[in-house]
Amino acid sequence: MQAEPIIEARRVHLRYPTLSGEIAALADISISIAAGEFLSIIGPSGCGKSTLLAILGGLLAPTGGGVLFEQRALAGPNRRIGYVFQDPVLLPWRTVLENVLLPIEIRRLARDRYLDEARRLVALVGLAGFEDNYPKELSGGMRQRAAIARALMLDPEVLLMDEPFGALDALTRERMGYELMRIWQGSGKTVVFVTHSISEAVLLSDRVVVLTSRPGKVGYACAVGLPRPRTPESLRDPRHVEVAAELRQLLLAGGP
Amino acid sequence: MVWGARPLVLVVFVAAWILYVEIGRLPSYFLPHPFAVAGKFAELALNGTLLKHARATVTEAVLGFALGSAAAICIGTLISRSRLLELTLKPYIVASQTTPIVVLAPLFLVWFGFGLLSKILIAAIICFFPLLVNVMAGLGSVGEQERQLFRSLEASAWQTFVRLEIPPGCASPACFPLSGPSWASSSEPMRGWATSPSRPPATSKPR
Repeated sequence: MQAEPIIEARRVHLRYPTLSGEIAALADISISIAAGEFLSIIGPSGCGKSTLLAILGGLLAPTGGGVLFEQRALAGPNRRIGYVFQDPVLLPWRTVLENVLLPIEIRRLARDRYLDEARRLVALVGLAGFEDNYPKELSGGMRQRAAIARALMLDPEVLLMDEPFGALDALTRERMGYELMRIWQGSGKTVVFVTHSISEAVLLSDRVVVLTSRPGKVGYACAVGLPRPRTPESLRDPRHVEVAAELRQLLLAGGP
Repeated sequence: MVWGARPLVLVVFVAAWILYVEIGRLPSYFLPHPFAVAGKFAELALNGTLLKHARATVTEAVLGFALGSAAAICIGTLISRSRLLELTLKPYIVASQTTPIVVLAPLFLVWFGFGLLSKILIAAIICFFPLLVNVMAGLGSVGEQERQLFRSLEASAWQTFVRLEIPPGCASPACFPLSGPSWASSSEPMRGWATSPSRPPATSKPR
């Protein structure tokens, strides 16, 4: 990945006041993410992974440093950065298709002109035939698929994913990983994927960044040299096993 | 099954009434015979008396409901904009709900006279508090991730209000008392603002 960085955190700090004094949540984080890269951020619970993602998405302003998106300072949310949350956060009074069209409505674009694209995305995430179902009629994995389709609706350059499969059972989770890679592959999009699963991070990513806890710092970053497309076979590849073991050791030791 | 059982309840009830009146030889001022009630009803319906009074009642009810719900929606929305305001006023709103309307009715007659106004105001008060509580429950039930989603889409405050905060309020029992809209799950009761000590917990896990 020698491409230009599309999104870059520069010496990001985040401190916030609490009753017992100020807490440093993130300290001096610099990450440069190349266009088209699949990057995972892993780390122990409470290390600020999600907070960092919110800062990269412009949802939260850092108290120090800044974020560059396409070489320009990111001042707030940007339509070219899509977000997938841990919960699907679908609106229960809207059908799958209406949920996927939500970003179009919020941007005050002509809904009718995007119907075909919305249907294409629903099919892309494997929900063809469920366009008119309500979220409560879908399984957890299907809801998260719909959330991914919604995040893709505005054709973002960057997809920020905050433990998107964390609430799913292990098998569904792995399957969703392959699905995500299928969707990502050839799309040219950049994915920043927050997870606490080492093997998920290694399986999906080009590069894995480890955050240490309190304050969150970049402890370690490593490239995953596994060939693509990744398959269930990749899990048994010695390179996967080696990288995963290395990361596990780092995290178990309380961070690098 | 239920369509057979429902009228049966009425038949049993009226039969018991008739039996009670006939066997006990009750005077009509104590408990009138159901047939006498039905006869009087038919008479009033036919000579137009019933219609005239029904019209007055419906007018009062509709105007009272319009006034009460409009006030509840406006005030509920305003209060839910501010956490401080909500927490400050909550105990008073809950306490005021325990005041029986029957107690207020004579006061309203004294204050506003025997005309239309006092009745409209009583109807408005009856609607106001349940709706206020439901409006606030609906607006307060929006989770942090939903708000983040709307922020990430750069939704305006108005769009967030109309597309995210209002719809769950419309699903509340105040608006759909019996069935609820099709998307609302009947197995999950509305997280009641008045009955729960605080807002429902955010759906996201702490990290």
